[in-house]
Amino acid sequence: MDEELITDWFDAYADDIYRFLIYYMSTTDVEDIVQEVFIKAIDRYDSFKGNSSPKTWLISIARNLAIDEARKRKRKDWRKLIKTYEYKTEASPEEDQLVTETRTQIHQAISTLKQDYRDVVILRGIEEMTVAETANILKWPDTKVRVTFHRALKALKTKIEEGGYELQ
Amino acid sequence: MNYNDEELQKELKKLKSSHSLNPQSKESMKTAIQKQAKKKRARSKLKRSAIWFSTAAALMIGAGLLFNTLNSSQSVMPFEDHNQTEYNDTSEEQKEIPAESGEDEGTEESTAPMSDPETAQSLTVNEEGTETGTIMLEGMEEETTFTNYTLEPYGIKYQLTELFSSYDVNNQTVTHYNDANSVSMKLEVVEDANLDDVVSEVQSEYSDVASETGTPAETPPGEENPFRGVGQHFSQSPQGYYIYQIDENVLVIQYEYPLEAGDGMGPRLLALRESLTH
Repeated sequence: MDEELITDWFDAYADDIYRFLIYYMSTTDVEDIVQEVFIKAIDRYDSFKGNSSPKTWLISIARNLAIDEARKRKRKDWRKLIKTYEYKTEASPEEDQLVTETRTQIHQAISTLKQDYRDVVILRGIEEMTVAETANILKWPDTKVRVTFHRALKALKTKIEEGGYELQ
Repeated sequence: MNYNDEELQKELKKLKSSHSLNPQSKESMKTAIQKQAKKKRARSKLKRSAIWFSTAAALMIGAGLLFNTLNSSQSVMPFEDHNQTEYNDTSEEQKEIPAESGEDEGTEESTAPMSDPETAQSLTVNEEGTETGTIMLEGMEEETTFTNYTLEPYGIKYQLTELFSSYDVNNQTVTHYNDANSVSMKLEVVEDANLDDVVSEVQSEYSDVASETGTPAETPPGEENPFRGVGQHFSQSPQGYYIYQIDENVLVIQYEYPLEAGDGMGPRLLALRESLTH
Protein backbone atom coordinates (compact mmCIF):
# COMPACT_ATOMS: atom_id res chain seq x y z
CA MET A 1 0.00 0.00 0.00
CA ASP A 2 1.53 3.28 -1.00
CA GLU A 3 1.66 6.38 1.15
CA GLU A 4 -0.54 8.34 -1.21
CA LEU A 5 -3.47 5.97 -0.96
CA ILE A 6 -3.39 5.66 2.83
CA THR A 7 -3.12 9.45 3.09
CA ASP A 8 -6.19 9.81 0.89
CA TRP A 9 -8.09 7.32 3.02
CA PHE A 10 -7.00 9.03 6.19
CA ASP A 11 -8.18 12.43 4.92
CA ALA A 12 -11.50 10.97 3.83
CA TYR A 13 -12.38 8.65 6.70
CA ALA A 14 -10.35 9.54 9.80
CA ASP A 15 -13.20 11.52 11.35
CA ASP A 16 -15.75 8.79 10.60
CA ILE A 17 -13.53 6.26 12.31
CA TYR A 18 -13.00 8.63 15.17
CA ARG A 19 -16.74 9.06 15.72
CA PHE A 20 -17.47 5.38 15.37
CA LEU A 21 -14.87 4.67 18.02
CA ILE A 22 -16.34 7.29 20.28
CA TYR A 23 -19.76 5.59 20.11
CA TYR A 24 -18.24 2.19 20.44
CA MET A 25 -15.85 3.01 23.26
CA SER A 26 -18.11 5.61 24.89
CA THR A 27 -15.16 7.95 25.21
CA THR A 28 -13.42 10.57 23.12
CA ASP A 29 -10.06 9.22 24.12
CA VAL A 30 -9.71 7.12 20.98
CA GLU A 31 -7.15 9.00 18.90
CA ASP A 32 -4.53 6.31 19.43
CA ILE A 33 -6.97 3.70 18.17
CA VAL A 34 -7.73 5.79 15.09
CA GLN A 35 -4.04 5.81 14.22
CA GLU A 36 -3.83 2.11 14.91
CA VAL A 37 -6.75 1.48 12.54
CA PHE A 38 -4.85 3.04 9.65
CA ILE A 39 -1.62 1.27 10.55
CA LYS A 40 -3.51 -2.03 10.58
CA ALA A 41 -4.98 -1.09 7.23
CA ILE A 42 -1.45 -0.68 5.82
CA ASP A 43 -0.42 -4.06 7.19
CA ARG A 44 -3.55 -5.85 6.02
CA TYR A 45 -3.99 -4.08 2.71
CA ASP A 46 -3.31 -7.33 0.84
CA SER A 47 -6.53 -8.74 2.31
CA PHE A 48 -8.61 -5.81 1.04
CA LYS A 49 -10.41 -7.15 -2.01
CA GLY A 50 -12.14 -3.93 -2.97
CA ASN A 51 -15.58 -5.55 -2.75
CA SER A 52 -16.57 -3.09 -0.06
CA SER A 53 -15.84 0.58 0.30
CA PRO A 54 -12.65 1.56 2.10
CA LYS A 55 -14.81 3.18 4.79
CA THR A 56 -16.65 -0.02 5.74
CA TRP A 57 -13.38 -1.93 5.64
CA LEU A 58 -11.73 0.59 7.95
CA ILE A 59 -14.71 0.52 10.31
CA SER A 60 -14.54 -3.27 10.51
CA ILE A 61 -10.89 -2.91 11.53
CA ALA A 62 -11.86 -0.20 14.03
CA ARG A 63 -14.57 -2.43 15.49
CA ASN A 64 -12.14 -5.29 16.09
CA LEU A 65 -9.64 -2.96 17.72
CA ALA A 66 -12.38 -1.40 19.80
CA ILE A 67 -13.54 -4.80 21.06
CA ASP A 68 -9.99 -5.58 22.16
CA GLU A 69 -9.56 -2.17 23.71
CA ALA A 70 -12.91 -2.32 25.50
CA ARG A 71 -11.76 -5.44 27.28
CA LYS A 72 -8.82 -3.46 28.61
CA ARG A 73 -10.80 -0.38 29.57
CA LYS A 74 -13.32 -1.27 32.24
CA ARG A 75 -14.25 2.19 33.42
CA LYS A 76 -16.60 4.32 31.32
CA ASP A 77 -17.37 7.94 32.06
CA TRP A 78 -20.64 8.49 30.26
CA ARG A 79 -21.19 11.99 31.59
CA LYS A 80 -17.82 13.12 30.35
CA LEU A 81 -18.67 11.78 26.90
CA ILE A 82 -22.06 13.43 26.71
CA LYS A 83 -20.56 16.76 27.76
CA THR A 84 -18.38 16.70 24.67
CA TYR A 85 -21.46 16.88 22.49
CA GLU A 86 -22.14 20.35 21.17
CA TYR A 87 -25.78 21.23 21.43
CA LYS A 88 -26.99 24.12 19.38
CA THR A 89 -30.41 24.54 20.88
CA GLU A 90 -32.21 27.38 22.44
CA ALA A 91 -33.48 25.21 25.21
CA SER A 92 -33.31 26.24 28.83
CA PRO A 93 -30.51 24.95 31.03
CA GLU A 94 -33.02 22.63 32.69
CA GLU A 95 -34.03 21.17 29.35
CA ASP A 96 -30.39 20.77 28.38
CA GLN A 97 -29.78 18.99 31.62
CA LEU A 98 -32.61 16.59 30.88
CA VAL A 99 -31.32 15.89 27.37
CA THR A 100 -27.87 15.20 28.75
CA GLU A 101 -29.24 12.81 31.31
CA THR A 102 -31.38 11.03 28.70
CA ARG A 103 -28.51 10.61 26.28
CA THR A 104 -26.23 9.42 29.01
CA GLN A 105 -28.76 6.77 29.91
CA ILE A 106 -29.17 5.73 26.28
CA HIS A 107 -25.42 5.41 25.93
CA GLN A 108 -25.35 3.44 29.14
CA ALA A 109 -28.18 1.22 27.92
CA ILE A 110 -26.39 0.64 24.59
CA SER A 111 -23.22 -0.36 26.41
CA THR A 112 -25.12 -3.02 28.34
CA LEU A 113 -26.48 -4.63 25.17
CA LYS A 114 -24.93 -7.78 23.97
CA GLN A 115 -22.23 -7.38 21.33
CA ASP A 116 -24.39 -8.09 18.25
CA TYR A 117 -27.08 -5.64 19.32
CA ARG A 118 -24.57 -2.98 20.22
CA ASP A 119 -22.84 -3.32 16.86
CA VAL A 120 -26.00 -2.98 14.85
CA VAL A 121 -27.41 -0.14 17.00
CA ILE A 122 -24.26 1.93 16.56
CA LEU A 123 -23.87 1.24 12.86
CA ARG A 124 -27.52 1.38 11.78
CA GLY A 125 -29.01 3.55 14.48
CA ILE A 126 -26.34 6.17 15.22
CA GLU A 127 -24.07 6.09 12.17
CA GLU A 128 -27.08 5.60 9.87
CA MET A 129 -25.26 3.19 7.70
CA THR A 130 -27.22 1.22 5.14
CA VAL A 131 -28.09 -2.41 5.64
CA ALA A 132 -25.51 -3.35 3.02
CA GLU A 133 -22.75 -1.33 4.66
CA THR A 134 -23.57 -2.72 8.07
CA ALA A 135 -23.71 -6.24 6.68
CA ASN A 136 -20.32 -5.66 5.11
CA ILE A 137 -18.71 -4.46 8.31
CA LEU A 138 -20.21 -7.16 10.47
CA LYS A 139 -19.88 -9.78 7.73
CA TRP A 140 -23.49 -10.73 8.13
CA PRO A 141 -26.21 -11.35 5.56
CA ASP A 142 -28.52 -8.38 4.99
CA THR A 143 -31.46 -10.21 6.55
CA LYS A 144 -29.53 -10.81 9.74
CA VAL A 145 -28.75 -7.11 9.92
CA ARG A 146 -32.45 -6.25 9.60
CA VAL A 147 -33.66 -8.85 12.09
CA THR A 148 -30.88 -8.16 14.60
CA PHE A 149 -31.44 -4.41 14.40
CA HIS A 150 -35.14 -4.90 15.10
CA ARG A 151 -34.38 -7.10 18.10
CA ALA A 152 -31.65 -4.74 19.27
CA LEU A 153 -34.06 -1.79 19.34
CA LYS A 154 -36.55 -3.84 21.32
CA ALA A 155 -33.85 -4.81 23.81
CA LEU A 156 -32.65 -1.22 24.03
CA LYS A 157 -36.17 0.04 24.77
CA THR A 158 -36.43 -2.51 27.56
CA LYS A 159 -33.11 -1.36 29.01
CA ILE A 160 -34.20 2.29 28.87
CA GLU A 161 -37.56 1.51 30.48
CA GLU A 162 -35.81 -0.43 33.20
CA GLY A 163 -33.67 2.66 33.81
CA GLY A 164 -36.83 4.77 34.18
CA TYR A 165 -35.87 7.36 31.62
CA GLU A 166 -38.14 9.03 29.14
CA LEU A 167 -37.34 9.80 25.56
CA GLN A 168 -37.96 13.36 24.55
CA MET B 1 -43.03 3.97 29.46
CA ASN B 2 -43.24 2.50 25.96
CA TYR B 3 -41.45 3.88 22.96
CA ASN B 4 -41.96 2.85 19.40
CA ASP B 5 -39.07 2.05 17.12
CA GLU B 6 -39.30 5.29 15.23
CA GLU B 7 -38.94 7.38 18.35
CA LEU B 8 -36.02 5.34 19.49
CA GLN B 9 -34.33 5.62 16.16
CA LYS B 10 -34.77 9.37 16.25
CA GLU B 11 -33.09 9.46 19.63
CA LEU B 12 -30.25 7.32 18.37
CA LYS B 13 -29.70 9.67 15.45
CA LYS B 14 -29.45 12.53 17.89
CA LEU B 15 -26.53 10.71 19.47
CA LYS B 16 -24.60 11.16 16.25
CA SER B 17 -21.96 13.63 17.11
CA SER B 18 -20.03 16.06 14.99
CA HIS B 19 -16.79 15.14 16.65
CA SER B 20 -13.70 15.41 14.53
CA LEU B 21 -10.06 14.88 15.19
CA ASN B 22 -7.99 17.78 16.37
CA PRO B 23 -6.19 19.14 13.26
CA GLN B 24 -2.84 19.05 15.03
CA SER B 25 -3.34 15.48 16.14
CA LYS B 26 -4.58 14.64 12.70
CA GLU B 27 -1.38 15.92 11.08
CA SER B 28 0.88 14.06 13.45
CA MET B 29 -1.18 10.89 12.97
CA LYS B 30 -0.97 11.31 9.21
CA THR B 31 2.81 11.66 9.39
CA ALA B 32 3.08 8.55 11.55
CA ILE B 33 0.85 6.61 9.16
CA GLN B 34 2.86 7.73 6.13
CA LYS B 35 6.06 6.65 7.85
CA GLN B 36 4.50 3.30 8.55
CA ALA B 37 3.44 2.95 4.92
CA LYS B 38 6.96 3.80 3.77
CA LYS B 39 8.46 1.30 6.19
CA LYS B 40 6.01 -1.35 5.11
CA ARG B 41 6.80 -0.77 1.46
CA ALA B 42 10.53 -1.05 2.16
CA ARG B 43 9.95 -4.27 4.08
CA SER B 44 7.83 -5.66 1.25
CA LYS B 45 10.53 -4.77 -1.23
CA LEU B 46 13.14 -6.45 0.93
CA LYS B 47 10.91 -9.49 1.34
CA ARG B 48 10.33 -9.70 -2.40
CA SER B 49 14.07 -9.39 -3.01
CA ALA B 50 14.79 -12.08 -0.43
CA ILE B 51 12.23 -14.37 -2.03
CA TRP B 52 13.65 -13.64 -5.47
CA PHE B 53 17.22 -14.27 -4.36
CA SER B 54 16.37 -17.42 -2.42
CA THR B 55 14.41 -18.74 -5.40
CA ALA B 56 17.29 -17.91 -7.72
CA ALA B 57 19.75 -19.55 -5.32
CA ALA B 58 17.57 -22.64 -5.03
CA LEU B 59 17.32 -22.85 -8.81
CA MET B 60 21.07 -22.46 -9.19
CA ILE B 61 21.79 -25.12 -6.57
CA GLY B 62 19.26 -27.41 -8.21
CA ALA B 63 20.81 -26.82 -11.60
CA GLY B 64 24.27 -27.43 -10.17
CA LEU B 65 23.21 -30.69 -8.58
CA LEU B 66 21.50 -31.79 -11.77
CA PHE B 67 24.58 -30.92 -13.80
CA ASN B 68 26.83 -32.84 -11.41
CA THR B 69 24.51 -35.83 -11.48
CA LEU B 70 24.40 -35.86 -15.26
CA ASN B 71 28.12 -35.20 -15.51
CA SER B 72 29.09 -37.96 -13.11
CA SER B 73 26.78 -40.47 -14.76
CA GLN B 74 28.13 -39.71 -18.22
CA SER B 75 31.80 -39.22 -17.57
CA VAL B 76 34.39 -41.97 -17.86
CA MET B 77 35.46 -43.28 -14.53
CA PRO B 78 38.98 -42.52 -13.45
CA PHE B 79 41.39 -45.32 -14.28
CA GLU B 80 41.78 -46.34 -10.65
CA ASP B 81 38.03 -46.63 -10.23
CA HIS B 82 37.68 -48.48 -13.50
CA ASN B 83 40.36 -50.92 -12.49
CA GLN B 84 38.82 -51.29 -9.08
CA THR B 85 35.46 -52.11 -10.56
CA GLU B 86 36.85 -54.70 -12.90
CA TYR B 87 38.87 -56.19 -10.12
CA ASN B 88 35.81 -56.55 -7.99
CA ASP B 89 33.69 -57.99 -10.74
CA THR B 90 36.11 -60.53 -12.15
CA SER B 91 36.37 -64.14 -11.28
CA GLU B 92 38.66 -65.66 -8.76
CA GLU B 93 41.54 -66.13 -11.14
CA GLN B 94 41.95 -62.39 -11.47
CA LYS B 95 42.44 -62.04 -7.76
CA GLU B 96 46.03 -62.83 -8.49
CA ILE B 97 46.49 -59.51 -10.20
CA PRO B 98 48.83 -57.56 -7.99
CA ALA B 99 47.07 -54.48 -6.70
CA GLU B 100 50.20 -52.37 -6.92
CA SER B 101 50.72 -53.07 -10.60
CA GLY B 102 47.46 -51.37 -11.49
CA GLU B 103 49.22 -48.26 -12.79
CA ASP B 104 50.04 -49.91 -16.10
CA GLU B 105 47.47 -52.26 -17.46
CA GLY B 106 49.92 -53.79 -19.95
CA THR B 107 52.46 -54.54 -17.28
CA GLU B 108 49.80 -55.87 -15.07
CA GLU B 109 48.61 -58.29 -17.72
CA SER B 110 52.13 -59.55 -18.48
CA THR B 111 52.75 -60.23 -14.87
CA ALA B 112 49.29 -61.37 -13.97
CA PRO B 113 50.00 -65.05 -13.74
CA MET B 114 53.11 -64.39 -11.76
CA SER B 115 53.19 -64.69 -8.04
CA ASP B 116 51.77 -61.90 -5.99
CA PRO B 117 54.58 -60.79 -3.72
CA GLU B 118 51.99 -59.78 -1.18
CA THR B 119 50.42 -63.20 -0.96
CA ALA B 120 53.05 -65.63 -2.25
CA GLN B 121 55.14 -67.53 0.17
CA SER B 122 58.61 -66.15 0.45
CA LEU B 123 61.01 -67.92 -1.90
CA THR B 124 64.23 -69.21 -0.52
CA VAL B 125 67.01 -71.29 -2.09
CA ASN B 126 68.71 -74.04 -0.19
CA GLU B 127 72.00 -75.42 -1.38
CA GLU B 128 71.89 -79.16 -0.85
CA GLY B 129 75.53 -79.95 -1.55
CA THR B 130 77.37 -80.83 -4.73
CA GLU B 131 77.94 -83.90 -6.75
CA THR B 132 80.07 -84.78 -9.71
CA GLY B 133 78.59 -85.68 -13.03
CA THR B 134 79.28 -85.49 -16.73
CA ILE B 135 77.88 -83.41 -19.52
CA MET B 136 78.43 -83.76 -23.24
CA LEU B 137 80.47 -80.91 -24.68
CA GLU B 138 81.14 -81.01 -28.43
CA GLY B 139 80.43 -84.75 -28.48
CA MET B 140 82.72 -85.52 -25.59
CA GLU B 141 81.86 -86.32 -22.03
CA GLU B 142 83.20 -83.79 -19.61
CA GLU B 143 83.22 -84.17 -15.90
CA THR B 144 81.70 -81.27 -14.00
CA THR B 145 80.48 -80.41 -10.54
CA PHE B 146 76.76 -79.94 -9.98
CA THR B 147 75.26 -78.08 -7.06
CA ASN B 148 71.93 -79.31 -5.75
CA TYR B 149 69.39 -76.64 -4.93
CA THR B 150 65.94 -76.72 -3.45
CA LEU B 151 63.42 -73.95 -3.94
CA GLU B 152 61.54 -73.61 -0.70
CA PRO B 153 58.84 -73.72 0.41
CA TYR B 154 57.87 -75.54 -2.80
CA GLY B 155 60.31 -78.37 -2.47
CA ILE B 156 61.42 -78.11 -6.09
CA LYS B 157 64.86 -79.59 -6.53
CA TYR B 158 67.26 -78.90 -9.36
CA GLN B 159 70.96 -79.04 -10.23
CA LEU B 160 73.16 -76.50 -11.91
CA THR B 161 76.74 -76.78 -13.01
CA GLU B 162 79.37 -74.78 -11.25
CA LEU B 163 79.12 -72.21 -13.98
CA PHE B 164 76.05 -70.85 -12.19
CA SER B 165 77.40 -71.01 -8.72
CA SER B 166 76.53 -67.41 -7.93
CA TYR B 167 72.91 -66.53 -7.34
CA ASP B 168 70.62 -63.83 -5.96
CA VAL B 169 67.11 -64.13 -4.62
CA ASN B 170 64.91 -61.20 -5.38
CA ASN B 171 61.23 -61.37 -4.49
CA GLN B 172 60.00 -64.64 -5.99
CA THR B 173 62.88 -65.06 -8.40
CA VAL B 174 66.26 -66.65 -7.99
CA THR B 175 68.84 -65.66 -10.56
CA HIS B 176 71.94 -67.75 -11.10
CA TYR B 177 74.78 -66.25 -13.07
CA ASN B 178 78.41 -66.81 -13.93
CA ASP B 179 81.30 -64.83 -12.58
CA ALA B 180 81.29 -62.52 -15.59
CA ASN B 181 77.52 -62.07 -15.26
CA SER B 182 77.17 -62.76 -18.93
CA VAL B 183 75.10 -65.89 -18.48
CA SER B 184 72.00 -65.90 -16.37
CA MET B 185 69.35 -68.36 -15.34
CA LYS B 186 66.23 -67.16 -13.60
CA LEU B 187 63.88 -69.48 -11.77
CA GLU B 188 60.51 -68.31 -10.55
CA VAL B 189 57.57 -70.13 -8.99
CA VAL B 190 54.07 -68.94 -9.85
CA GLU B 191 51.71 -70.19 -7.23
CA ASP B 192 48.35 -71.76 -8.02
CA ALA B 193 48.76 -71.17 -11.72
CA ASN B 194 47.96 -72.91 -14.94
CA LEU B 195 50.81 -73.85 -17.27
CA ASP B 196 49.19 -72.59 -20.44
CA ASP B 197 48.31 -69.26 -18.90
CA VAL B 198 51.84 -68.74 -17.69
CA VAL B 199 53.30 -69.82 -21.02
CA SER B 200 51.11 -67.31 -22.76
CA GLU B 201 52.27 -64.56 -20.47
CA VAL B 202 55.94 -65.46 -20.63
CA GLN B 203 55.77 -65.85 -24.38
CA SER B 204 54.60 -62.28 -24.66
CA GLU B 205 57.86 -61.14 -23.08
CA TYR B 206 59.66 -62.43 -26.14
CA SER B 207 57.41 -60.79 -28.65
CA ASP B 208 60.31 -58.81 -30.17
CA VAL B 209 62.25 -61.99 -31.01
CA ALA B 210 59.43 -64.51 -31.30
CA SER B 211 58.99 -64.04 -35.05
CA GLU B 212 62.21 -65.89 -35.81
CA THR B 213 60.95 -69.20 -34.56
CA GLY B 214 57.82 -71.23 -34.46
CA THR B 215 55.58 -72.16 -31.59
CA PRO B 216 56.67 -73.28 -28.14
CA ALA B 217 57.56 -76.99 -27.87
CA GLU B 218 55.93 -79.16 -25.29
CA THR B 219 57.73 -81.86 -23.39
CA PRO B 220 55.42 -84.50 -21.95
CA PRO B 221 55.88 -85.79 -18.43
CA GLY B 222 58.59 -88.39 -18.11
CA GLU B 223 60.55 -87.36 -21.15
CA GLU B 224 63.11 -85.16 -19.43
CA ASN B 225 61.59 -84.95 -15.97
CA PRO B 226 58.31 -85.92 -14.28
CA PHE B 227 56.56 -82.74 -15.27
CA ARG B 228 54.65 -81.49 -18.24
CA GLY B 229 56.62 -78.63 -19.70
CA VAL B 230 56.73 -76.13 -22.49
CA GLY B 231 59.87 -74.47 -23.77
CA GLN B 232 61.10 -72.26 -26.51
CA HIS B 233 64.54 -71.16 -27.56
CA PHE B 234 65.41 -68.05 -29.49
CA SER B 235 68.80 -68.45 -31.14
CA GLN B 236 69.56 -65.07 -32.68
CA SER B 237 70.19 -63.52 -29.31
CA PRO B 238 70.34 -66.78 -27.37
CA GLN B 239 67.66 -66.84 -24.77
CA GLY B 240 64.58 -68.83 -23.96
CA TYR B 241 62.43 -70.40 -21.33
CA TYR B 242 61.16 -73.64 -19.88
CA ILE B 243 57.97 -73.75 -17.97
CA TYR B 244 56.70 -76.69 -15.91
CA GLN B 245 53.50 -77.46 -14.11
CA ILE B 246 54.56 -78.75 -10.74
CA ASP B 247 51.44 -79.67 -8.83
CA GLU B 248 49.35 -76.51 -8.42
CA ASN B 249 52.35 -74.26 -9.08
CA VAL B 250 54.24 -73.38 -12.20
CA LEU B 251 58.03 -73.16 -12.39
CA VAL B 252 59.39 -70.69 -14.90
CA ILE B 253 63.02 -70.93 -16.01
CA GLN B 254 64.36 -68.19 -18.22
CA TYR B 255 67.88 -68.08 -19.50
CA GLU B 256 70.06 -65.84 -21.54
CA TYR B 257 73.64 -66.13 -22.70
CA PRO B 258 76.01 -64.68 -25.27
CA LEU B 259 76.28 -66.31 -28.65
CA GLU B 260 79.85 -67.45 -28.07
CA ALA B 261 78.82 -69.45 -24.99
CA GLY B 262 76.29 -71.38 -27.03
CA ASP B 263 78.18 -74.67 -27.33
CA GLY B 264 78.27 -75.30 -23.64
CA MET B 265 74.83 -73.99 -22.71
CA GLY B 266 72.68 -76.64 -24.36
CA PRO B 267 74.10 -79.52 -22.26
CA ARG B 268 73.93 -77.45 -19.12
CA LEU B 269 70.29 -76.52 -19.73
CA LEU B 270 69.48 -80.12 -20.49
CA ALA B 271 71.14 -81.16 -17.24
CA LEU B 272 69.03 -78.62 -15.40
CA ARG B 273 65.80 -79.85 -17.00
CA GLU B 274 66.61 -83.45 -16.28
CA SER B 275 67.47 -82.70 -12.67
CA LEU B 276 64.11 -81.25 -11.82
CA THR B 277 62.30 -83.23 -9.14
CA HIS B 278 59.72 -82.50 -6.54
